[in-house]
Amino acid sequence: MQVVLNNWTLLLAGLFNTIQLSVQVILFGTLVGLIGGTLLLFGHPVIRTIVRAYVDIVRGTPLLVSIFLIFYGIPALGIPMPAFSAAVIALTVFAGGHMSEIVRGAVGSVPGGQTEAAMAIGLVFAQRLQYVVFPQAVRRMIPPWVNLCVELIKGSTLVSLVSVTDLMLSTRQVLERTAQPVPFYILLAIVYFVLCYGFGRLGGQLERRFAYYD
Amino acid sequence: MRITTSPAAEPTARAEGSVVVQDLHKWFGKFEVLQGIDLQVAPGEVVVIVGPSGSGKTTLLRCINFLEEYQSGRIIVSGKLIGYREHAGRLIKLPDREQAADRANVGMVFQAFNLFPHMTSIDNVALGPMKVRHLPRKVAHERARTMLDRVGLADKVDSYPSRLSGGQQQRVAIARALAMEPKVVLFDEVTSALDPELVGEVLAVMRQLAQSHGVTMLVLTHEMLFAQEVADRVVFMDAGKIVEQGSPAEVLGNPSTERLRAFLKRFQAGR
Amino acid sequence: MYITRWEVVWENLPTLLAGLVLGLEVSVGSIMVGGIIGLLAAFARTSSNRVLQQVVAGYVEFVRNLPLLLIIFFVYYGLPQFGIRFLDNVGSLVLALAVYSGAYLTEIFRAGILAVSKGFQEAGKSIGLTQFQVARFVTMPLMFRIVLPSLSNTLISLFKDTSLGAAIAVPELTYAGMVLNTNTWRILESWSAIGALYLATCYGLAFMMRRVERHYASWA
Repeated sequence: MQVVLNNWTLLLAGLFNTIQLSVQVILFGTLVGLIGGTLLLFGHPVIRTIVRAYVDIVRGTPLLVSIFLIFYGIPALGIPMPAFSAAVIALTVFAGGHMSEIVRGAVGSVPGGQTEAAMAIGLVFAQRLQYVVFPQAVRRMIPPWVNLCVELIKGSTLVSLVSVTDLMLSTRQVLERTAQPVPFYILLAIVYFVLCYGFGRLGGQLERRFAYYD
Repeated sequence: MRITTSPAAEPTARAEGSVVVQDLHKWFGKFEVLQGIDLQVAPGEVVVIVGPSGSGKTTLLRCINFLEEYQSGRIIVSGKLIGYREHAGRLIKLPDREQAADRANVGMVFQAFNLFPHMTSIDNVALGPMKVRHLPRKVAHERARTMLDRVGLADKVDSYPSRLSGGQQQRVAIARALAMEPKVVLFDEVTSALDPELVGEVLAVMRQLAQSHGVTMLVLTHEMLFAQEVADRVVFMDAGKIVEQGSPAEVLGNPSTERLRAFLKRFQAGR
Repeated sequence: MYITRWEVVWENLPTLLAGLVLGLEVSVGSIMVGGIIGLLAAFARTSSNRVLQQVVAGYVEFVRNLPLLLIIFFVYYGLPQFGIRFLDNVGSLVLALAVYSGAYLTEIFRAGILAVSKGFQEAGKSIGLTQFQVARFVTMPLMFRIVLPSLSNTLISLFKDTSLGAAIAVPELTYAGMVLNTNTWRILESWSAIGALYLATCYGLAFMMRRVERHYASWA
């Protein structure tokens, strides 16, 4: 435990990086996903095929492979970029693909009768989306979005394998100096559990706020 | 028995609230669901359409407010061709904005109610007036309140659909359709999804509406008693064609075709 | 200017494919062990024993909120501290994946058990079957058909998760990629090829699982 106290600045920096990484990825990933989902639903057929390919590739390959490809590929192409930013991009690509599918699925799950009723009172396309379809789609997006965010927080640990000092890497660096890794892993487990479970609970609150008050 | 238009009747075929269907054909792929429908409905008339499922009556209704496209023939509501514009004898589909403008003048009440679950009753009813008729919020809400009062739900203005019974939801749906002040209202088997004890309250609202003669009503229903008491005309459809039409007494009391007789027999037995 | 040299991939294809096969073996092993864990836990969760219910609920909630990488490190580096030294890195990966997937499988099986209509179970009891026999002859066969789609999704996810074995030098596909890159630095070619291999395998697995589903769909 002495070791922990001696190195608490390192560990704290790692935690800060993990949180910063997660927040950025969640924000950018959600944005990319909203755009991607909309393109999948209403875009030009060529655009739809491109986005579909992007989504299917992201969903069919492991996150670690995407991280390696993007993280090492960007500098290899001659584009200078700080490690942290490359990590954010790699994770955002992953998040965006999954979020696009969530958006598409949520909008698709709004019953057809709703669109028909909106048409029957004379609303035009943009109005039908704004007042009838999207409000109902957003409610349906929240549970899978919360799940995705938890997966992103857990996935952030993979950047430790490309030497980005997140909480996982900084903790492992510290535990190298002791012969007893278990307490550190237990500490890590508690921290990540609090982060993920906490976010999940917040998500539950969000879900309740959007319910039809029934 | 087919009623054909006499030239003298033509002027009314263009009046506000009239519905004219001319030789309408519609195909779902290879299946011809509407095989040449001719129908004229005068303003304020209450027409009840009956027929077995698969007869095409729902499709006909949905063509009138262009929720379904049609391949040949014409549908003219209040003098306007619906869904298309004519160019050198061909039908060219209207853009969404114009379709929406036409739909604003034709109300529809659905079998599944289709109330917007994320809005209260008053918001459901006021949405159209606000966003399509561009009324200010206060005016739209006032109108919504009046409509909800008219269907007997003044105390449910702030309720969400999930809190309402089926009959109440359907009445809100009727209020929502009427709030747009349409000249024509379409009713697609609006009581078929309701528990028996809730059917009466919805039929009462429809009866009241019919007796006011303010709107043209096209009603699809299996409620034969309602048809007998309220309809000005009953139309029997089967297999994509209009087989018989006339006054309720003629069609329901004295059917002249075997198909209609067979259809009506079902309602004498198990009711 | 990056000029691609794809020969690197072709030359090393055998190693990559060997890694792919190992990944599949690990996935199958993990889902079998995880499946046993999940099945037992699901029955425990739906039993009448409150304590058992809470324990399983706790296990599920805890494991699902932990990063898989952490679980892998704990099994590989942490267990020896408790005297468990017989697991090599592949074994550790299988165990870690089994524990991780077990939590998700518990929920899948639980939903399946609850979905099997009580009527069938009561019919079983009424002909004198014990709880255990009802579970074995009535609930499980019916549940199996219901959960098959979720099971195939889990298998595919597990296969992708085997990539994390690279962190403890398990020579599956991703690790083979890391080695390839260390030797040749052909980043774009190797990782896109590896990505393509994962993609193709996932599609292949999905296709196969759909055929299995269709086979069992015949008896509803």
